[in-house]
Amino acid sequence: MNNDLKPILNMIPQLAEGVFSDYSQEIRIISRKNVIYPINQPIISFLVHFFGEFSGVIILSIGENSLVRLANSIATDKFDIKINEVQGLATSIFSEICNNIAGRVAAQISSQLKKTCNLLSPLLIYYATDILPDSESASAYGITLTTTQGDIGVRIIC
Amino acid sequence: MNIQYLNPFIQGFCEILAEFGVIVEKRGQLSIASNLIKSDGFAVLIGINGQIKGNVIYDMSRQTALDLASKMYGTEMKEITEEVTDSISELGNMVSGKASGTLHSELDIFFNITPPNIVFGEQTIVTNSTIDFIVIPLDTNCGRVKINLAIKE
Repeated sequence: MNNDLKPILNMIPQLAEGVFSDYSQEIRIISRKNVIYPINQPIISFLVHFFGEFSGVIILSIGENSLVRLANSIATDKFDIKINEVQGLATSIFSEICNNIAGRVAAQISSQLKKTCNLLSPLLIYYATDILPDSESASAYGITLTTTQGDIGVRIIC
Repeated sequence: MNIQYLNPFIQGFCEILAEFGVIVEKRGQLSIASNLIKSDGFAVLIGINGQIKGNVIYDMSRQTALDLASKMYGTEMKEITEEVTDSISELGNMVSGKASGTLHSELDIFFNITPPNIVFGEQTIVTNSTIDFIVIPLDTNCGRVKINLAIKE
């Protein structure tokens, strides 16, 4: 593992929990595993490129059922709306959560590694069976966060 | 999106593939996909950043990826291996890099590209929140490749 990146990877649960708590008190992180999120169910992935002196990509992945539970918690808390399927509002909420997490990771990269780090426009990828980096130039580091609403995979490729 | 950004990618694609003996036999009809595309199974995602920003996605079937990689390697590829993903990634890199050079020299527009990521899955859908994709299907002697371009100034 890139040693520069290690402290930032270790901060991801804390950064993610900070974002979750802004949206809903129902969502908490229970545990963390240093494994890349397994692809064994329909998943939705949020992918955004970092650019600047630090370049790479962050991918946040979640299973359909967990996405619905996560979005429902937030929609219920914030708007008193129920969500029970993967549709516009659910994925919009997930995108916003991921954008915030990615933004906080980028800020940590900038402040700790002293490298400029900004975000490009994100992509949402539905039902991919795998997402691979360019093997010649990149290394992938991943963790899986178990939350009260289900697992979320966070992978950084740089 | 300014349509003039499109042709350098098409031109670059045709020129790079010709170097490997792959011929673009037909250019399909250009269409607009409202910020959503459905993959044919094998997609190379590249980010674009500079005076223009967005993403370019080179999308094809698994078989087309194998056939293109076979041409690039000069030997038949029968399954998706690291060599196949690397060669198609590199193809995306080369085409995007060539387009970047053309836009810079002809229109004084400068941008960088990110390293590619490969997305697998025949049910895969890729969306972005704000920019429509312009889709150009190109039929080659290895199968169809779609260039999906979502760019804003």
